[in-house]
Amino acid sequence: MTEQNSTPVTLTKNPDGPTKTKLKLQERLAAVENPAEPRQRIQIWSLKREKKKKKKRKKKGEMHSFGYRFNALLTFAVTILALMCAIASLSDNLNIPSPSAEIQIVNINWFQKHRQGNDEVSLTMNISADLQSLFTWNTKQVFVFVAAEYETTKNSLNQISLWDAIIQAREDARFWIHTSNKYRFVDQGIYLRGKEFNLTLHWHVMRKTGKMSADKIVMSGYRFPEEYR
Amino acid sequence: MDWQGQKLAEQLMQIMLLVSGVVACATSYILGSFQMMVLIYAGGVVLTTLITVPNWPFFNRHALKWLDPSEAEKHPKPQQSVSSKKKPAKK
Repeated sequence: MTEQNSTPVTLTKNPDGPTKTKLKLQERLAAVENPAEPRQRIQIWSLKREKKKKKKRKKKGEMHSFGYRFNALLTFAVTILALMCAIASLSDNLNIPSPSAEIQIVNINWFQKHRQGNDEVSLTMNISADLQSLFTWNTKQVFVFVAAEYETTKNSLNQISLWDAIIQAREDARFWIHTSNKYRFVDQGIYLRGKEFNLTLHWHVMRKTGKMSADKIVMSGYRFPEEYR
Repeated sequence: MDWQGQKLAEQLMQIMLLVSGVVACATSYILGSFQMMVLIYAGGVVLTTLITVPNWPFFNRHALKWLDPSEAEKHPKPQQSVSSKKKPAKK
C-alpha cells in the first residue's frame, strides 16, 4: 500500500509538470526500467490470487472428491446391510423348532347360562410350555395365546381366546403358569353343556428381520360338565 | 488423490465393507446376538470411512506428470471440424 501512495507524491513534485498522456508515457517507461513499479506489482499480486482461485476450483470440482467417496461408501454399506438382513432372515430356516406344551384344566369355577341365552364358563388352568427352541438370534418376540376351539351346530369353528402373553426373551420361553381365563369364555348360544373341546396353544414369532411366522399345538380331549353350576 | 489412489480407495472400501459384513454375520450367528451384528458392522463402516474417505497421503504416491506448456505448443491439437462432415469411424 505504501508504494501505491508513492505515485501521487511524484506528481506533486513538479506542479507545472507533464500532461496526462505524458504522465502515462513516463509511467510506462518507469515500469520498463524498474520492475518493482507498483502497477506491475499489483498485476503480479492479482495473478497469484487467480492461481489460488484456480487451485480451489480444481479441488472442488475433482471427480473423486470427499463427497463422492463418502456417497459411494454409504451406498455400498447400506446395500451390504440389506444383504446381511436377508441372510439373517434366511438363517432362520436352519432352525427347526421343537416346542412342547401342556394344559391342564384344574377347575371349572362356574358354568352358567346368561339371561340373553349364551353360555359362559370360567376355568382355572395350568399352562406349561417350552418354546425356547423358537428363539434364534433373529427373534424379537413371540406372542402366545391359548384358544378354546370347538364345533357347534351354529358355527363350524368357534375359537375363543382364553389367555395370552408376549415373550421377549429366550429365558422366559419356558414357563409354567396357574391362571383362570384372562378373557371371558362366552359361547354364541347354549351349546356348551357336555361339549368336547380342544385347547390350542398358538404362537406368532416376530423376527428382527424377515417374515412373521405362526404355528400351534392342539390339545384335545377336554369336556364341559353336563350341568350348569 | 491420484488415479491409482482412487482405484485403491474404491477397492479398499468394497473389500473392507464386505469383510466387516461377513465377520459381523458370522460372529453374531455363532454368538446368537443380532445386536452384535449391527454393532460390529457399524464399527466396520466407521473404520472404512476413516480410511477411505479422507485424502490420506498414501493415496497420492503416483502423481500425474503433465507435459510442459512449451512442449505442448510444439504439438498443437489437430483440427477436425474443417475436414469432414461425416463422423470419423469409432471402433
